[in-house]
Order: sequence, then C-alpha cells, then structure tokens
Amino acid sequence: MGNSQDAEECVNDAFLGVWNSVPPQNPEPLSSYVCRIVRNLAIKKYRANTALKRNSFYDVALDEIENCFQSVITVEDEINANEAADAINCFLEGLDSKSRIMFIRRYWYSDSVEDIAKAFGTSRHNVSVRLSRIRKKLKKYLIEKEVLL
Amino acid sequence: MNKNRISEILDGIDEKYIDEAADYAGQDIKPAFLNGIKWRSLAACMVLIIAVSLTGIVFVTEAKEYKAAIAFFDENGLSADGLSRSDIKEVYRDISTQRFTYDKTADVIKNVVSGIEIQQDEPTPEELKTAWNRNVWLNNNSKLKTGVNYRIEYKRNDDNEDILEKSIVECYKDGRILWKTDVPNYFVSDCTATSIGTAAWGYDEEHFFLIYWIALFNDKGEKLWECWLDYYDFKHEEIAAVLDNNDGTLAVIGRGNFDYLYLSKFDADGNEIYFKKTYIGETGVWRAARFGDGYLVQLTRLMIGENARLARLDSDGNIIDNFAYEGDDCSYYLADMAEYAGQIYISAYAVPKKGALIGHGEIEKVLDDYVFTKKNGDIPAEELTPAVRDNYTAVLLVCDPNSGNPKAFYSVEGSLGGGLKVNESNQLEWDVESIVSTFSSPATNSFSIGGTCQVYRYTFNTSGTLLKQIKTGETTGFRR
Repeated sequence: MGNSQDAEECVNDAFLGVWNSVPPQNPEPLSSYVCRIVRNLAIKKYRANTALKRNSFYDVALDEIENCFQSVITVEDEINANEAADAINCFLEGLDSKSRIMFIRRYWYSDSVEDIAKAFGTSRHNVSVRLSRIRKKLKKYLIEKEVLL
Repeated sequence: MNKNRISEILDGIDEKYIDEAADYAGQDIKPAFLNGIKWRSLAACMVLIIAVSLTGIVFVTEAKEYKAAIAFFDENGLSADGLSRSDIKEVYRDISTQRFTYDKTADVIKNVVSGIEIQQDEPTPEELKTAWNRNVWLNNNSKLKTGVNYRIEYKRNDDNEDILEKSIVECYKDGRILWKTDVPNYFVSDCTATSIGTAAWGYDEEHFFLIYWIALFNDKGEKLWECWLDYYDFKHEEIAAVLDNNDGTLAVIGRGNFDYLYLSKFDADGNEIYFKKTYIGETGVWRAARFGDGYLVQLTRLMIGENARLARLDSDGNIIDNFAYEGDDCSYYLADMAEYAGQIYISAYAVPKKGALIGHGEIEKVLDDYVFTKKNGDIPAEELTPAVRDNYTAVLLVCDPNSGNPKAFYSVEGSLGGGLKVNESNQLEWDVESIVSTFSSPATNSFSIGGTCQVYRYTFNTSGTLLKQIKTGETTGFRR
C-alpha cells in the first residue's frame, strides 16, 4: 500500500466486510475468505491512490509470472481466465507442498523473495531458482493443456 | 498480457492452496532439541499492488531490461521514487555505461552517495562519474584477491536471458594468480583451501531441484575428484560449509529435505565415508566451523527473528548443545564465522530488541520510533542516517574453547559486522561495514530503508591484538 494508514484502513474494511457478510455466508476455511477480501480491497485502494507512483517490488512479482502466459500468439482474449485458473490448480496439485507454498506466497500473497527465503530458512538465490523452475514448468504445462497456443 | 488479466487468473486459485500457504507463515514446529524456546507466529501481510498495464509486442524484452534496472537500483541502494518506468531504465543505462548524461541521474545519485558536492545547477557528467566511481561503482570491483576465489561468467541465450556460461575457481598469492580452472556446468557457491586440496562446491541448475556438487582440486588447479550429493530420498538443499577435518577427510554440513541438518564426510579420494542426518525442523543451516573434534553450526529461523543460534556437534554430527546468543536489550545477527588460532571468531552485529516482529526486525525500532511516529513521510538523509547508525553495533565475538559460548571481543558503533578471513600472513581480518548514508522511500515501500556502507578492515594477530585498522575504499549496499 505504501503507507501504514492505508494498510490499517484496508484491514479494518476487510473485517467490516466479513462482519457484514457472515452470515449468511459461511466460508470455510475462513482465513482464505478474509485473505481474498483484503486482497481485493488493497487492489482497489492502490488503483485509487497510485496512478503515477509505482511499487517496483510488486511489479517484479507480476512481471515474473507474466512470461508464463506469453505465447506465440499473444492476444488477451484468447486466454480464458477460468480455464487458465483451472489449469493452474491442476498444476499446483502436482507440485510438492513446499514448492506450491513458495508459488502461492510469491504470486498470490506477493511476498518478496527475501521474505520467502526467511520463511524457508534458505537463501534468496535458492528461492529465485526454484521459482524460476516452477514458472518454466507451469508454462510448459499450460502449453501442453492447450491453455496457451 | 494485461496485469489485470493475470490478477483475474490468480484469483481463481483454489481456496485450499491459499489457506495452506496462509497457515505456513504461522506454523509452530518445536523440535525436541529446542524445548523451552517459544516460537511466535506471524500474521501474513497480504497487499497486492498492480501497476499500470503494459502493452506492445516488445513487452517481453522491455520487461527484462526493466527487471535488470530494478535489480541494479536495489543492489546500489538507489531510490526509484518519482521516476517513471522509462526513467528507471534510462538512469540504469546511464550509470552502467558510465555516461552520466541523463537529466535525472544526478538526483538519483545524490541520495546514495554521501558527502557528494553537486552544484544546484546541472552537474557535469564528469562530476557525477567521479562521485559515483569514488563511492560506489569501482570500489565494489576493486577488492584485491588473495587465496582461493571463484567467479561466475554468464552468457545470453536465445530468449535474451542470462544463463551460466561457466564458473571459475582461482588461487592467488601476493596478488598474483597461481592457477585458474574452469567449471563449465555448475554454479560454484564457494570454495576453500584445505590440507588435501582446494574444495569447491555448488549446484547444477539444469534440474528442477538443484543437484549439489563438490570437487577437489590440487595445487595446479587440476580436478582430483567430484561427486554429487543427491541420492535415494534425501534432497540436499544447500551446503553451509566444507571443513577440513585435518585427518585427510573433509566434512560437509548443510540442510536437506527442508527439515534435516546433515553431516557428510569424504576421504581424499572423494568417497563418502560417513553420513548422518538430524531432524531440526524448518530451520536454516547457514555456517559452520570446526570446533575441537566436532563442529559449531549456525542455525536460523528468520521469520521469528532468530539468527544467532549456535549448535555444537560432536565428530559424528550429533547435536550435543545449542544456545542462542543474545543480550538483555539487544538481538544479534551473525554475519560470518572463521576458525583462527585454535578459536572460533564470529562476526556479528547487534540491534535493539523490540516487540512483535514485523519482518524487518533489524530496523523495527527505527521504523516505529522514528519513521512512522515522528515523520511518517519523506525523511531527509541527514536525519535518518544518525538514527539508523544508532541502531547498529558491529561485534566481533570469540567462542569459549570448551563450551563454544561466544563472548564479545571487539565492537564498533554505527556499523554491521562483515566478512572474516585469515590472510596470507596468518592474521585475522574483520571487515566492518560503517553506515554512511541512508534513505527511506514511503512511496515505494514504507517498511524498507536503503543506503550505503563503507568497509573498514580490522586486522588482529594470534594474541588477539589489534594490529591495524584501514579504510578499504570498498562500499556495500544497505537494505533492510
């Protein structure tokens, strides 16, 4: 978010969102439901605040995975989001849990490579290499499943 | 592809995977040998920021250059605040090609080069080049080589990516190269001189999971043997150290299968003659040194701020003791470890203890007491730098020869402990990184502080007497 006030506001709005939606919603597991709300609020807040400024740290995370979706013919509408998400879920199912967690923490939670290295007690370079291998494997998988052309 | 589109796709990831990864940050694993130690879990920080979308056929190439520019900024402590994407790339090209003609380069350099005297009107390219080279660029490349060293050479592939061309292991004496050998297929992580030759180790990147490799070279740089560590169901993740047992064998210590500390021993012909693994939970194994007949190993759990835990191993790799080095009001971070004159010296630095860890534990006190409370915005370097210097004290520790418990031997305020090395004259050299300039950039990341350190070298003899202290002229980046 770039500042603590926006981050706090985002968290407060998320809790309010959960309070207002549960019940009738009965999400299970609750933690990931809350995570999604916070993430969506943060995205909206960021778009409102930062038309010109950038956060290079998170740009790089999306830049990294963007290459997985590049293909010979790159037209956005050709890739169906639901189809791609289903394929990614199948791909993740086939990974070992540590690799899967690294992937999710980097590209869904947007943790830095440094923070992931700390969490796993390993080096930054080790994490970078593993993520690179996972991305290459993902791209190959998407091509094999004909999600990419 | 449009980043919004990617975000949509990622939004479809199954809840169970999100939950699995959310729980991971807070796992409370307590190996038996660490009984009595409380582990704290962290709340995951979940803020995703999406930049303005990019279009164009040349996006892939442009994105790679942009990534290289960002990495350059990070390595050199440069602030991208207020710069557009193309500005960042232009400044990167301007500095890395030593032209210094782009109109925004001067402002970027001012934040990282302390004491630079730039006129209010436009500085000349020569002024900028001199200031940059004196403080950052060339100083980082001017280290005199001694003993065994290694370096990596890269080449571009058809996808315009930097890939390994070869690693090179070299041996120097009195500044002259004695031998050099190419290692074409592996990234060399480190090397060390031993009584049976020069050991080098690294990994093979061609496999999905890294395959770790060790080799021994003679005094002409000829390879005597090499071997690979992965076998059966034990995945060697990293090699923390290769140590000379001084009995014709080498000890290899590291981590495998994410949860195990391992000790392997190799004879002079490269045969693995011993292997033992010990469960330690999700703990990093970072450094090791010979200690008596056994070993002293640094263990880390950085997510809870633990960096200064040491485990004593016997000669068979059994953990016989472990202790965390900490003060009443400060925490320690270990930077390097070396055996010298029969004792183990540890280079470290101390920072004030604070409350709940936020993932930037070293600078927690500066962020809480100063950045957020007093200023909460752009802070001039003249105010921030003294606050950051007050936060750090470099410490040289020496371990008790019986118990292994470290005690403070020497300290330097306003600095971080750096590398330790025994030089050709059998003196201990301790590098200390003195913080000379800092900046914070709330617009890019309100929880980070960057800057530059100047390296001083303290030299001690076997009696522990300080022989000399010099300013090396080298600089390192500071980023927390």
